Amino acid sequence: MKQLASTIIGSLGLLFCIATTAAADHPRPYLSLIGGLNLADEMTLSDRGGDFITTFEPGFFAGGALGYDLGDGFPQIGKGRIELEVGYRYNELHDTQFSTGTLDSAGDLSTLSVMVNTVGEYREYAPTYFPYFGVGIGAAVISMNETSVAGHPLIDDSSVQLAYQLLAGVCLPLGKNLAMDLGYRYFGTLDPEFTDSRNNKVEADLGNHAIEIGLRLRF
Amino acid sequence: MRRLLAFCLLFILILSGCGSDSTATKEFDLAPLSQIIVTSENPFIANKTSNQFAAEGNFSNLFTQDISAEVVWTSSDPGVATIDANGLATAVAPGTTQITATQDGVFDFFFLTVTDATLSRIDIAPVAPAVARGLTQQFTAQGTFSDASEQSLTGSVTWSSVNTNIAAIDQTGLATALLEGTTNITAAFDGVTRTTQLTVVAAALTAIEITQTLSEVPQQVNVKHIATGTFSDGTSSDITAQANWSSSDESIATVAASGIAVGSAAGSVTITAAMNALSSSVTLNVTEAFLVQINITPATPTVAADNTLQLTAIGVFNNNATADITTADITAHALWTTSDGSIATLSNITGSEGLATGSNAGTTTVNATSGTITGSTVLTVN
Repeated sequence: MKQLASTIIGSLGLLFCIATTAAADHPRPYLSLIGGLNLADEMTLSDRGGDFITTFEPGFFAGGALGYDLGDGFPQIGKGRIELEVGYRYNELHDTQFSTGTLDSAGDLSTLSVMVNTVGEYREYAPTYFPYFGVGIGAAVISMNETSVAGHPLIDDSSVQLAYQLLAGVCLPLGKNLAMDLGYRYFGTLDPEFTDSRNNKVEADLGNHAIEIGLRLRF
Repeated sequence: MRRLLAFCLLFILILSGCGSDSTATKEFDLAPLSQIIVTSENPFIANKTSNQFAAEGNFSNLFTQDISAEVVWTSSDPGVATIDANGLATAVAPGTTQITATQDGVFDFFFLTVTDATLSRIDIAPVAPAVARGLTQQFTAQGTFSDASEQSLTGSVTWSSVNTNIAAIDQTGLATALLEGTTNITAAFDGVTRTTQLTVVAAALTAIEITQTLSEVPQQVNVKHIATGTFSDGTSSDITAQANWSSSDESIATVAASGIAVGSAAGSVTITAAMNALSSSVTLNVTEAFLVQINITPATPTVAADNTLQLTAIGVFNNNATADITTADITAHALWTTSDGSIATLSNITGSEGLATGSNAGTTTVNATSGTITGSTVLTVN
């Protein structure tokens, strides 16, 4: 519920953002590639026996998007972009905390997402760089792959959930058609549910923080 | 730029709710049980007595935990001793039996020998204790047998209190003090008894809590402190008058036996109320401003006999730092007195401070005092 609330608040924030951006150039499609460091929040897993908590090693985020830069063609909306993005996140398990102690863990958590993002840009602030803010909503396949605790199998299963993300960063134009984005994103989903190695249902929570760099080519 | 800052703030607020603050409550149950270790305080017990067994599980050498309640307990010869699901064995007849704990195909056992020794004496501990009303006292019983062996009988004896209105006792030996007085506690087993006296004394103070009317005040403004004591029987009462009040720095603020503190210099002090080895403290901050005058309004008050009139004390303050002169209502902080209580009375009760009640026709001087500053006026009763 907290994640859903965050999505709603973020969407409202974006509407505010887009509505206040200033004018620039012509509307054009673009292609972007993104990558960076992905830090997964500690994951609380809950089953009938209680809660246990898994932490993750730093991992990576990679993705690409096909979008449309509104330019100054929509003054009634403002400046911004709309894009369809495919993203992939990967983090290996570090350890898992039980009430009886913390044990080394293995396996990985990966998330494949398809998102629709809307991004508002503040181009009036500086000619050489400007901030952007955005939100996205979509779906994600969350996979816990061959995870184990102290050598004992834990979860090897996937779950599909509604996903959302919040974006912020600065854009550095590198030329007329090329721009670099340096940013941060928070990516979350509604709580995924997995089946563990004993056929028990396990509910988890998911949150990711990514520091990223992207290249965007406008056609 | 303000919109940008507002959006950044919104972003931070959203992300601040994203972290996890849960704690692990689930036991690790993925590793199989690899070993059970059964332990017991006594390998030999007297007939008719009981003995507690415990089972500790070793899970793949990753961790151990008490699994006494999870294992299946069995006795190879129930004619010698029986054992319940919690590992409590009861001797039935002299002999030896094998007590086994089993779980998930893993087991361990312990040989228990029941002797034919008979009980000679019971000792109760503690002897003749005094317990504050509302508290509990755990008694233990130790048996000495005909073969000179000793064994705890706390869980085997029958506990009783001769006066259950004063103290009740359960079959684990835990007595609860209910009313002040004296009762006898008896432990009985196999025809042997032992008695000790239990005295229930007045409820003991267990905690002190201070409430403070103000935590930051100008100099010479009274700050009322009320100490509330919580007692072992669950009751609480105002112990302001009984507590010993102290200030950590009397050059900044002093506190009277009534709990009223007054600052005389800027700074911070700790006000403490202590009683029966317990204490509680609050912080009082005294500001640069100081009270220089108190004006009572109305300036020439008049009230009919048997009627009331609310008087107000207006404090005039001088700020040392800014030299500003300010005023504030300090009615609730002033101490109200009258020169002739037969003419009128003044209330100092919380919520009705400064309320004058006329008694008989005449005039009397009314004073409102805070610290060393007093304001006065003449009250006329018609």
